Amino acid sequence: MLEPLLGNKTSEKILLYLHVYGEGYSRLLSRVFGMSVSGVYQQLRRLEDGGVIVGFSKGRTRIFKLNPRYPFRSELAALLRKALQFVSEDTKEQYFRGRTRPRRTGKPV
Amino acid sequence: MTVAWERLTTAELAAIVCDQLDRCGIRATLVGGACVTIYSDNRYISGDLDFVTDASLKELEKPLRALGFVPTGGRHFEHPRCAAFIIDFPAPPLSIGGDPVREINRLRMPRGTIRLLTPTDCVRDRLAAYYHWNDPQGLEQALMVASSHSIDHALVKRWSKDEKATVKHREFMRMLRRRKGGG
Repeated sequence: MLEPLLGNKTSEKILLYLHVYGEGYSRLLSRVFGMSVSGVYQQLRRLEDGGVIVGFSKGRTRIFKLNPRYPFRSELAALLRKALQFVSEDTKEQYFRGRTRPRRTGKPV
Repeated sequence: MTVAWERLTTAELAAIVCDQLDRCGIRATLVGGACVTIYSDNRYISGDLDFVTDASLKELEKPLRALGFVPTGGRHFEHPRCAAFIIDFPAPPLSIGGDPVREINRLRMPRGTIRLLTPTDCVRDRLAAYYHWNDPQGLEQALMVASSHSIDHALVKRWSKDEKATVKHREFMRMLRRRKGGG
């Protein structure tokens, strides 16, 4: 969908994920989308170098978010919102409707 | 040119880098914490010299290597005799949040002229870190610059509203008045 603009599918998935969930890290993104960690990491670095996303260290994990200081952030958000409207229900269910609300420790799933 | 690399101040190094890039037709503007260092008369010292330029890393490499800087990954360069500083090139465009930077300050130094953010944009740049990441250092640095320079407060207020940070802007103004002794 946005691949012609962004250059590759991995970046599209990463940006859509960060738009929906607010943050992510390379191992999680690689697990969710079934892509190699190195491929995801390479795109995260490319997006970070371009100022599109920013990274923070939490413990030993590098967490990435969309950069609120990116000059085109509202235009990018509008683009990602629009792109999500074209994502199939199956894909939304698979990738973009995961549980984010808290669950008490030890409570059975 | 003989340079005592080990003893350079932030402003002296910025002037050398700006001058060198300028000679090669590359316009680079100093942004970030190094502007705070300059505007606060070294009350805050930044180890990062962040320059925004449209030149590619490939175009930057030759003139910087001529000064002795080597690329050390990502978009930054280091000098073996100037270990206190990292020269970094954040991605363009030159902007403060969603606002393009329209005015550049020029500071003449013996070794060259530094192109840098105006005090007002330096304050906005630091406030952006406070607004979006709750960075207390950003707030403190904004206060440092705003308390010792003339600032376009109407512009900062308008921009803060665009950044959806009117509450934090009010807090900044309250602290600034207190710092200036205005209660």
